[in-house]
Amino acid sequence: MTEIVLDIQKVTMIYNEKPVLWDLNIKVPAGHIIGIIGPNGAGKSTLLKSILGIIKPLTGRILLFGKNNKANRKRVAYVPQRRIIDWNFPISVLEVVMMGLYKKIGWFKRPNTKDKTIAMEALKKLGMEKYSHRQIDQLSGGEQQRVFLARALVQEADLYIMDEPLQGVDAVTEKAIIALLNELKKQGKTVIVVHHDLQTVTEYFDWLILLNVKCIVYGPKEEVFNKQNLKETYEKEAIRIDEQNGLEEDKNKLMTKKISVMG
Amino acid sequence: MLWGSYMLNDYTLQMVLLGSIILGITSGMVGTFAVLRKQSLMGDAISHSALPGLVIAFLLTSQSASYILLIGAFAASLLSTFIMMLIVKYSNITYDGALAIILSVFFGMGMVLLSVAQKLPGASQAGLNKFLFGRAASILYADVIMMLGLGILVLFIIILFWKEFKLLCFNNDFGESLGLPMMFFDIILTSLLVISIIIGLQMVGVILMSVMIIAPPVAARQWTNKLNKMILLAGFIGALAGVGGSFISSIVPRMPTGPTIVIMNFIIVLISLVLAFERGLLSRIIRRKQKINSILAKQILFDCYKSFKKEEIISIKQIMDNLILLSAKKKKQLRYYLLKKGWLLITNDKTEITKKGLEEILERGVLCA
Repeated sequence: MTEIVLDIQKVTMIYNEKPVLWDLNIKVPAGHIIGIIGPNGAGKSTLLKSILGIIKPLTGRILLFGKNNKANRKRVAYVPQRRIIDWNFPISVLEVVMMGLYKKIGWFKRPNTKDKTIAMEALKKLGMEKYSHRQIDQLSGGEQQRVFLARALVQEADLYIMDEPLQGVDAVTEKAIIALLNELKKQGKTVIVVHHDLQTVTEYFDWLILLNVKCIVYGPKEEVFNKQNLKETYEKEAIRIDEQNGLEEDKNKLMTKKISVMG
Repeated sequence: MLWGSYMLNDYTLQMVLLGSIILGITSGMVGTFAVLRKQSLMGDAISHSALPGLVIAFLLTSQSASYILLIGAFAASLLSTFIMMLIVKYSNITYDGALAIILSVFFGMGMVLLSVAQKLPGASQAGLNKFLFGRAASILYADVIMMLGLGILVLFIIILFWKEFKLLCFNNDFGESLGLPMMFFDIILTSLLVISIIIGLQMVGVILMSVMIIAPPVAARQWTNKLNKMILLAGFIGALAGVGGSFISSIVPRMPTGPTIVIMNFIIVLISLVLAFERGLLSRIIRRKQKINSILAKQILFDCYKSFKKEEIISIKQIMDNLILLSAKKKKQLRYYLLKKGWLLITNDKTEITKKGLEEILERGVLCA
C-alpha cells in the first residue's frame, strides 16, 4: 500500500465564529495530482492553511506523512495565491526563488553560489532562467506564477500545496505548470492544487476533493467526477445535510426503535 | 459644596471648562468622519503642520493675539493637506508615507522657526511655546468666544452636508458616478478637520491634538452602529474627557491640562474597547465561547445522527473522544449543553438521539448553530 501523505481526521474549523469546514475526513495517498474544487466560500483556502498548520482546527487533527503537521513541515512546499503578493516589492526573480532555501540555509547565514545554482536550475525547469535578474514587477502574470513555482521546487518537498496556480495565467504558463505537476508525480511526489476551472479538471488531475464546507466526496477522478457529485457540491446550500431518507422516515425509525427497546 | 461653587466661580477654570467642552464636541464630531474614512492620522499631520504657521504669523505681525496666530496655523495646516494630496496623487509614495513626511517636515520647520522667533524681543510674552503641549490656563474670554464661533460654524456645516459627508466617507466613487462634486465635499470636510484642530491648539497643543480627533469616535463606535448616534456620542465623549481632564488638572497642582485631557480620552477608549455591549472585547470573548460550544454540540449531535442511521450503539465518551482536542472541562460543558437542549438521551454506555435532536439536525441543518 502506498504511503498516506495527508490524513485529515474529523476536522471542523471556524472562521469569524462560523463553521467554514465541517467534519472533514480525507486520506490522500502519495503520488497523485489532487485537485480541490468547490464554490466560493467552500473553505478551500482555509483547508490549505490548516494543512500547513497556519490555522488550527476546532476539533480533529491533520497528519502529514503520519505525524502531526508541525513535525513534517519541511516536507511541504506552499505556493500562495498570486494576488496576495505585493508585486512592487523591490526584489529580483532569483532572490524570490532563493527564499525557498532560507530554512535550509539557516539563521544569520547568506545564500552561497551552490544555493544560487539550485535556484537557477529550478528557474530553468520552468523556462524562466533568462529572467533571473529581472525585478518581479516587470513580469507578466504567468511569469510571476512560474517564479513562485520555482521557489516551491527548490524546497525539494514531498508534498506541494498550491492555491490557484492556474488562475489568470497565459497558455504557455499553464502548459509549463501542468508539465511540472506531471514530472513531480513521476518522482512519486504529491501535489494538491486548488482549482476553479471545471472544464480542465479531468485533464489535469487524477484525484479530486469536492469541497463545500463538508467534503462532498474524494477519490480518483473516474469515481468521483460526475454530475450527481458536482450538483451536490455547487448547487446545494452547505448548511443542509440531506440524506436520502427524510425527517418523517427517521422519526418513524426512532419510534419503532423505542418500542422494540421497550418490548 | 462650598469648595465646588468656589471652583466654578474661578474665572480661569470657567474659561478652561467652556473651552474644553467646545473643543471636545467639535473635534469629536469632525473626528468621526476622519476615523470612518480611515484617516485617523491625518489629524496628527494637520496639527503638527500648524506649528510653522503659528510662528510665521508671529514673525510677520509681531503680534501675539491668538486669532492672528491661529490664522497662520490654519493656512499652514491647509497647505499641508494640499501637499499631502499632491504627493499621493503624483508620486508612488503611499498615503502613510506622505503623512509621515509632511508631519515631520512641517514640525521640524516649525521648531527651527520657533528657535529663531524666541530670540526676538517680545517673544516670551507671546508664549509661542504654549502651542507645543498647550496651556489651558492661558485661555481668555475672547478665545472662548472665538472657539464658540468656530464650533458653531463647524456644527452648522456638518448638519448642512450631512448626507454628502456620509456618502464621501462610505463610498466616494459612487458619489462621483452620481455626478456629485465629491472633491468639493472633500475639501470642505478637510477644512472642518483643520478648523477643529486649530480650535484645540491653545489648550492641548500641536503634539497631542490628534488624540482629540481619534479617541472620541473610536470609543463612540464601540457603543453604536448608527452614524448619527455615533457622531453625537463622540461629541459627548470629547466634552466629557475635556471636562474631566480640566477638573483633575485644576485640583491637582502643577498638573498640565492638555495631557490630562488626553489621558481621560484614553481611559474612555479603554473602557469602551473592553466593556461595550456588542463590540467590546469581553462580550466578543463570551459570544465566541458560546458559539464554539454550540458548534461542537452540533458536531456531537451530527455524529449521533450518523450512528443512529447506521444503527450502531455508541457512548457519549466515544463520540467526544473521536473529536480529539477536547478538554475534560469542555466535555462536561458540552454534555450539560446537549442535555439542556434535549437533543440526546445519554446513559453510561449508550447515546440516543431524541425526536427534538432529529428535528434540529434535519430542519435547521448542522451548520446554523
